[in-house]
Parts: sequence; structure tokens; C-alpha cells
Amino acid sequence: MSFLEIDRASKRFGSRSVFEDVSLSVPRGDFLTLLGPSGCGKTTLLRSIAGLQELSSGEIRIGGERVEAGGAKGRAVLVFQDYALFPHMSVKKNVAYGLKLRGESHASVERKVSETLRYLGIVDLADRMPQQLSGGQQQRVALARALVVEPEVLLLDEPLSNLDAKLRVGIRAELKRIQREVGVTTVYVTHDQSEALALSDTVAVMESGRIAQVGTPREVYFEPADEFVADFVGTANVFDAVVEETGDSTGRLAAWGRRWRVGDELPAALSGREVRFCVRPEGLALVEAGTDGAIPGVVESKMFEGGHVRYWVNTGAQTFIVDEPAGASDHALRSEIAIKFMRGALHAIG
Amino acid sequence: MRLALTLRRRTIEPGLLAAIVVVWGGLALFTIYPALRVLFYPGAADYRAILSDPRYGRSLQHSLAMMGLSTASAVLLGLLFAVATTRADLPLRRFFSFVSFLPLFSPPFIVAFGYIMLFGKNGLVTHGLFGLRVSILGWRGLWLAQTLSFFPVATVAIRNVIATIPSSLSRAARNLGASRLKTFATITLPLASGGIFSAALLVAILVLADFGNPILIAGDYSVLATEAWQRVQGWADVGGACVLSLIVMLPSLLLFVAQRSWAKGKGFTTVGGKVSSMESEPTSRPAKLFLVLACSIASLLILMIYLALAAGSLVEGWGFDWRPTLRWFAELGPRWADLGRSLCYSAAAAAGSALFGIVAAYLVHSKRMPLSGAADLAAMLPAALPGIFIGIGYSIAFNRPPLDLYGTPLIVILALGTWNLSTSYQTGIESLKQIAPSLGEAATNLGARPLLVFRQIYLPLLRGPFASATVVGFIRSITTLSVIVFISTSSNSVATFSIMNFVNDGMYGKASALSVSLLVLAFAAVGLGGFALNRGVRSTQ
Repeated sequence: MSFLEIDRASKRFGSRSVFEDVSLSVPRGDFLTLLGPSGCGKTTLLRSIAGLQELSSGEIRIGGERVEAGGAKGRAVLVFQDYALFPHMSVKKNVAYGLKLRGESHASVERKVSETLRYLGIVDLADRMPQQLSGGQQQRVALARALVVEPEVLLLDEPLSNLDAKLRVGIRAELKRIQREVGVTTVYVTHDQSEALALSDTVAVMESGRIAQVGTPREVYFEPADEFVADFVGTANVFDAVVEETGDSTGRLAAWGRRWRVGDELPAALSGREVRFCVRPEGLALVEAGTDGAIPGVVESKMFEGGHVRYWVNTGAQTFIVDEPAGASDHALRSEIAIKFMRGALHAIG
Repeated sequence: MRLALTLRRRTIEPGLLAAIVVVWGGLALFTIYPALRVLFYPGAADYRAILSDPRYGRSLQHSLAMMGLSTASAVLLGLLFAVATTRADLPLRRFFSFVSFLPLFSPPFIVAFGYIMLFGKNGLVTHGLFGLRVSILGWRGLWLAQTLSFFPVATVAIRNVIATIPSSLSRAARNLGASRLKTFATITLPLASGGIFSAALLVAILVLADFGNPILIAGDYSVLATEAWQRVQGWADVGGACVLSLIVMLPSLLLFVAQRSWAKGKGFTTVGGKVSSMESEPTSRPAKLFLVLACSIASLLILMIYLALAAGSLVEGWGFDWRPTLRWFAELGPRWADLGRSLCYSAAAAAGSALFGIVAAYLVHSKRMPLSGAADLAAMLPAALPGIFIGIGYSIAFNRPPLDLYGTPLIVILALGTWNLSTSYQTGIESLKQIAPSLGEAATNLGARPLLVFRQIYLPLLRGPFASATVVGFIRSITTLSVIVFISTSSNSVATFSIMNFVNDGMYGKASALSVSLLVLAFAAVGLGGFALNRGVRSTQ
């Protein structure tokens, strides 16, 4: 039984549709990420869950109860992209705000606020004003303000986008830890695929108002449902090839007047058809030119990226992106080379 | 138990509903209704008189001529001061800046009054110094008075634009080989031209609506505003006065619309906003000399007014008996009450209008107001209405049951409040735009209902703008003559009304004494307001 249900939800502003017929089910305690490029409707969907936006049709339920527009009344609490800390209230007052609205006793407010501040390691900021805080500190306060009311669903709108790169990775790990410890059902919105992959139990990839794919991070990365997902989640080499053989432990593909073997067992149903394939850069390896079953090409450009080296290899018909571990790999520019498909790297997307 | 009403599928708090009713009711009753009264009060014969009675055409001609002349000279002078006060290396820069602010905080008509004392028949300069018997009354005197009354508005508007031009641009031009003058003519001036145009429109509206200066100094040269007053005073022709105020309102409305769309389209700052001190290029010696000389002459012309008023209040008989005395202050007697009323009415009108304007701005901005486009128009309407229009409107809208406010304090307070509404409303809208919408949403999301969001989140953040709207409204209210002249009676008259009567009766001693007292009050309010404003702003930061 899923806890948060989005049931055929649509949102239109006039004639412009923001998202259309979106359905999602999120089990209690799950970390769901809405991943997509800007303008895909993910933030509007998040705001609808928060009750800040009325749906044009369909409904959203939390624990079986419908979310009404006009604020989710503390049930689904949103951490805003710009944190939205009240500038005229101290950290403590900001965090206490939601509890006071519920009319909790002074003692209970005090206790819960200080517990939450302590949990997030910001006790010593309690009397500061928001303007006196760094971006990372503001973010913790915003998180504290949301968590202190013990929401049924925690909503995060690109919470890391205003932080610098170094800080982002650290806070990302902490966010994941906190979510796991608190166990709160979480919906996270981002356009950053690495955040989505690192944090989520489930990723929903959105493209112009529709859900393109829902799956685990591994699924959306290695088994993208379509070319958009393949391309948006990470770097992808997408190409069309005819499946000539679907043998036991090896298949054979043909494209561009060339045929080559792949280590994968291809489904027999594909046999004889032209299929669109996706292969990640790390699923390819560079071997010596002339190696049997490999596609010959020329190193067009290369880039050292720390952990790995990225090569652009032109095979005549298509340029493949190939990542090789940096330690062992050093192929010269314009050198003749061949591309080999690693076992299990190939994914048919239709 | 929760009381809730449903309007368009949404539940509305009773408090919010009350606010909406009050704001819409207030706008309808106190802004739209008086305006409509002015339109429908005159009969067909009154409208036909526009063509048959040459006085209409003549005063329109005069008004437009003055608008052209005074606007041109005021903008030119304003530009001069704007340039001078943004040059960091100009001697006396702060002094010029200070002097250019003085008329902003004074009743516009004291300029006319001051010049009558200086250059009139018994003028200190003309008669006293040179033994001349000339009259400054007429269009030339009016031109001078309006120029000096309204140039500060242009200065502020143009300075705001000049200050936003990055000094790197003129440095780049200089670097490419342009002379200083050439740089000013080809870089600064074109970039400021939008601001100059916008300033001209603002000044034109003020000149057109000006009542105080022409009533005192224009003599027989009647403009629309004074003609309306003469009709009511002399012939009890209220219908004719309505027609005249409509005639003056039309170009004012046009200018206002032009100014708004121009400012919006170009994104130029108008009056208000921050002036950043820029590190400008050094000014050349001839330019410095010219600017200092020109600004000094203008400053002298301004300071003379205040000195004349102060002196006039302290001598036995202006122009013939220069013995010092305090009797004019002592003899003010019942007129001290006028000053008290000025203070109370202006404070009430300013605070009330600021609160009303900001609540209206919140309702419109948060899209909680039904017909919010119409409400926006209604709230902005008073900005386009000349003071006499509002005054006449109130005098005929609230002079009989069910709302008979004739001679009451309330009619003055409401008229002044309405006249200031647009300023407060616009201040509210501009400030709300600065507040991230996520703040209100965060509170809503945590469970706060709309009125609570307004009280706990927006109101504290709007304290600064509220205070500034109150101060501006207070200054405008306490210095205006045009708004109150048609609704003043002996029981609710304020200081500006009495000053006008004193001047017209030739009682310069009492007029100066009352003017000086009024100015002291106004400047004290600015000082106090500025102080409170600074503290208010600091406490929210």
C-alpha cells in the first residue's frame, strides 16, 4: 500500500499544460526523486503535493487523505529552493513557527525546537538572524523548520542548487543519512542526475509534463526506457543496429556496413530487427586497432577528468564516448584504435 | 468551530473576507464615487459653456502654456542639480543636495509667497533695495515660482537614473579619446534621456495640478485650477468648477498613463529608489565652475524664500516697518488650532492611507482580491487626479445624507488619505515584489491561513515601506492647499488654508508666522520620520 499517491494529476495554466496525467505511488519512508530538465513540470508537481497549487484534474492523497490547495497544513512540508527563511525571525523562531501554528504548548515547542537544532548541529545558531548565516547553515535551518513539525511527507525543491560544489556533496550525504534515520517519506526535485542517482530509492524522470520512466537509480541509469532518459541521466551512446545473431553467450550486431560481436546475450525476439541501443561510456573499452569483433575508429579528442579519461572516438558513422580508468589509459590523439563492448553494457531501448 | 464562507470553490477566512470588503468598499466609496460625482454633477449647460464662455479656453491655454514653460525650466534646473550632486568631486555638493531637498518638504506655494515678499510691490529686493514699484504678479512670477517648487522632483528622478549609469562607460569613452564634454553629450545624456523624459512627465503633472502658486502669484493670469476656485468663490458655480477640474484632469491622466507605461517599458527608476555613490571621473575645471555657479544662484533663490519667510514673521510691517517683533506669532491666536488640525489630519490621513494602501497592495499582489485589475486601477487613480479634482469631488459627494461630512474633520482626512492612496499602494506593491513569494508560501505550507500570513510574515517585513509611505503622505498632506481648499470651513480649516487667506488679505506678518510654524513642523516630521525609518529598516535587517 503506497503512502503518497499521485493519481492522474494534471495542471494547466490557461491553455498551457505543465504536467499531464501524472500518476505515481510512493511507499511510506521512500525517497523519491523527480528528475528532469527545467520546465518539465517537476517543481509544479512538488508544489501541488505541498498544497500550494491547485490541480486542474486528478488528485493527490497522503495516507489516503486528499491534499487540498491552500497549504498542506504541515502534512507535506516543503523546503524551498531559496530556503524561504523568515528574515525578521531568529533561527529559533523560524524553526518554532510551524509548531506554534499548531498551538503546541510553550514547553513542547521549546523541547522540539532544541532537539531538532541539536540533531542538525545548529544549536549555536539559535539566536542568529537568517542574514547572518551561510548558505549551508540556512539550508539546515530550513530543513529543521520542516522536520520539526514531523511532516508525513518531506518535500525538497533543489535544496542543494544554491550551494557550492564542494559543500553540495557533503550535504548530500548528510541529507541521505537524515532521511534514513528520520524515515520520513521524501520527494526530492532536482535537475542534477548525479544527485538523483546518489540519493533516491526511486527516480521518476520527467520530460515536458509527463513521467518518462520510474525506477531505481540503477534501472534508470542502465536500463533507460527511452532515448530521452538515456541522454538525460548520464552520458549515453545511442545507435541503431540490426541484430543478426542472438546466440548463447554472444550476439552479433550489424550497422554502418560493419558487423561485430558483443558479449551479451540478446533476446531472441530481437533477432533480425533493427534496434536502438544505448551503451554508457564506461561500458566501452578501447583496444588495439584490428582486434577481432571491435569497431575501428580514430581518437578525435580526449579529456582528463581525474578518475577517468574520456575519449571521443570517431568510427566514421558515429562518434562514441568512451571512459577508461585514468591510471592505465593513455591513447594519443588521432591514433587508430578500436572500440569493444563490455559484457552486459548493451541496453536495447526500442 | 471554524466559520468559513465559500467563494469560487475556495474557502475564505472571515477576516480576509472583511479585509476584501473594506478595501473594495473604501475604493468604491472614497475614490471612484467622488470621481464619478465630478463627472455627472455638471449639467449639459455646464459642458456647453466650455465653448461659449471664453474663460474656459483661456485658462486651459494658460495652464498648458505654464505646463510647457515651467516643466522645461524645472527639468533643466533639475538636470543641472542632478549632474552636480552626482559629481563626487564638486565642492558644495552636499549643500546643493540639501537645498534641493527643501522645496520637496515645503508647501509648494511658499515659493510664490516668498517671491511676493522679495520681488512684489513692497518687495524687499525690488522696492527695498532698488526702490522699484514693479509687480511680480502674472505669468513670469508664476513661472519662476513653479520652476523652483518642482525642480527637486526632476532632480531626484534624474539623479536616480544617472547614478545607475556605470562610471565605467564614461571611462571607456574617455579611454577611446572623447573629451569630457563629448563624453557627457554622447554617453551620459543619451543614457539619462529616458529618466529625463520620465521626470518631465512627473513635473508636468505637478505643474498642471498646481493651485497654491497661481492663486498667490498669478494675479489675473488664471489657470484651470484657480479658475475653478474663482467660480465657486465668486459665483457659486460648482458645475463650472467640476467641468474645469475635469479639463485639468484629462491631460493629467494622459501624462500619468504615459509616465507609467514609459517607466514600465524602459525599466527606469522614477522618484524613490536608492542612489549609489559612484566613483565618477574627475570633473573638468570649467565644468566645475559652471555647475557651482549655476547651482549657487539657484540655491540662493531657494534660500532667500525661507529667509524672507523667517524675516517676515519677525518684523512689524513687511516693506515699511522693519522693527523686530514677535507679535505675529502671538496674534495667531485661533489659528494655532489650524496648525494643530494640520498636524492631526495629516497624521491620520497618512497613517490610514498607508495602512489601507498596503493592505490593498497585499490583496492585489497575492491575487486574493476579486477584480484585482480594477482594484489596481482604482488604487492608482488618485495619482492621476489633481488635488482640486479630489477636493471638488469630496465637496459634492459628501455634503448631504447619508454621508454628510460637510465641515467635519473626517472629510479632510478622507480626502487627504485618498490623495495619498496611490503613493502608499505603489510603495506596497513595489515592496511586495521585493519579498520572495516563497516566504508567504512557506508559512502557508506550514499551516498559516492568509490573514495570519499577512500579519506574521508580510506586515513585519513591510514596516519600513509602511513608515516611509506614512512620512511621505504626512508631508504631502500637511503642505497641500489644492486638496483642502474646496472642503475647508471655519470649523475644519488647516494651516495652509489660513496662510492663503492671510496672503490674499495682505497680512504678510501672520502669513509668515504661520508658514514658519508649519515648516518647522514639517521638517521636524521629516527628521523624526527619517530617524524612525532608519531604525525600522535596521530592525528588519
